[in-house]
Amino acid sequence: MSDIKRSVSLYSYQDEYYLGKLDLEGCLRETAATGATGVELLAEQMIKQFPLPIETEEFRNKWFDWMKKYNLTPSCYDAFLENRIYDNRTLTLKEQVKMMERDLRLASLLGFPVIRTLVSTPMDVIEGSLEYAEKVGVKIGLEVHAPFSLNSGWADGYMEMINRTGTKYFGFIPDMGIFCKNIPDVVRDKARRHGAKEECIKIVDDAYANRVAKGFTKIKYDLNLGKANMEYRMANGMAEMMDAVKAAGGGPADLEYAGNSFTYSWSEPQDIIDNIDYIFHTHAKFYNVHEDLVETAVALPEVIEAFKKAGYTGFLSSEYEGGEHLRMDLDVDSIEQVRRHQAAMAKWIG
Amino acid sequence: MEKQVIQSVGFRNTKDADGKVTGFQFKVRLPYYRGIFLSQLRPGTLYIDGEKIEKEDIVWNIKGEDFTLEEMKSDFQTHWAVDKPAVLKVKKPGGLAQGYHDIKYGFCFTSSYMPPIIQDHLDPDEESMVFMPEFGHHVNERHLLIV
Repeated sequence: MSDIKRSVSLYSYQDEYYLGKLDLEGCLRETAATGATGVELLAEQMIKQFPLPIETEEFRNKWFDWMKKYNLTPSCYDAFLENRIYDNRTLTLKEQVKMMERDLRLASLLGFPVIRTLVSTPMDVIEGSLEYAEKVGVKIGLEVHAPFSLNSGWADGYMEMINRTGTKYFGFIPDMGIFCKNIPDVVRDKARRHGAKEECIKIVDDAYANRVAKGFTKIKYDLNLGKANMEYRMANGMAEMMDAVKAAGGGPADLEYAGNSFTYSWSEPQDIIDNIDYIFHTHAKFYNVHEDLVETAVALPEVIEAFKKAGYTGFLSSEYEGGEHLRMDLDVDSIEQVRRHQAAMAKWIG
Repeated sequence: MEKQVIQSVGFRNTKDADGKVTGFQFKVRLPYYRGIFLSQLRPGTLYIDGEKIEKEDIVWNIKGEDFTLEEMKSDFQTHWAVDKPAVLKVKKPGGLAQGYHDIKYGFCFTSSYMPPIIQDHLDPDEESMVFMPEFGHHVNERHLLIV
């Protein structure tokens, strides 16, 4: 019996939320209905007039009443460190630390033990916030999202900081988009609806399979994320693939599919075992789970097996991201997708 | 709300206290999964039946409060939520004639994690060089009725 817990990120219900089919309580009700025991919140998504209500006891009482009513535990608060709120400059280090402290405090007010921050958060902002994180008892987790990966030059930069400071309040939140064996089928289907050619789709799929087979060249640590990303793409054969698609007469839909293929990556699940001491929450990203509970892109069974082997006791939090590839042309059913994904995780966790 | 960014409900002429038609308004939703502060917004140009209206001449109403372009630039307190459309108010003496009109309007927004290559060339009136579905399209068009 594994101690891995299941959670749902309310990001998953974005379509039902904006269309008014689910409000915040409705999302919590659906989360509980899947059998998940944890809930991950994007306050900037579902807290009206963010962040004001969190400061009121009235809202907090309502929040904790909901947790009780639906038997849910707060798992992770997703922070964004919006450091571009001025149009002529990025926030200073001090301003960014202040914002990080705001999010740590808001998270603690709602009972979250962890906040998620993004790769766009500079290292010195994280380091400068560690003391406050310890004070309020909330850990800062850096999302490891494709094209970034564990066991990489990029992650080494953060490991150096962990070792130097000895902090227990910083670690990684892997996003399962780094464990994609294939490009999600919903992305391919969208390309077809928009007129992509089978020949071009094959070039892109073959190139992806080739990257998986020989191993992705990892991204480096660089403060200039744009530069690091471009070097990563080139090292993984993007130019050659684009040329091949163009030579085959690829149009906008083909080139979009080709470009999108770099949104996904494959890391060895062993990376989880190697880094387990620094992983305290996980985004179980997924794109499309079929009725037979197979997710077509993320290698869910292998990844969960690695978490079990590593003795992970944190949450795997469903994060549905297939909707953005359907929304323009088709209806999105996030509720059913999350239900299937939770059932699939329950099956593999055992 | 509808899936489309420009909403069909809420497109109508506006009147002053004396009942004189002074312009028109329409609603847009935020095509993103989380809300944004107004300073993150980059409003663009409006074309109504091909007639150009500059971004400075459009007032945004968020949660019942009016904001000019200048006011929004430095407002990082007011948060625009994804489930509440904004009302865009346009001055145009006499308003629009009854019948169908073509609306074309561009706006976009910044985000901390937006790839630098997109962020650096952000233009509300042009699509990004790389389209990322989560940030939506910048320029949206609709053919809507005023009665």
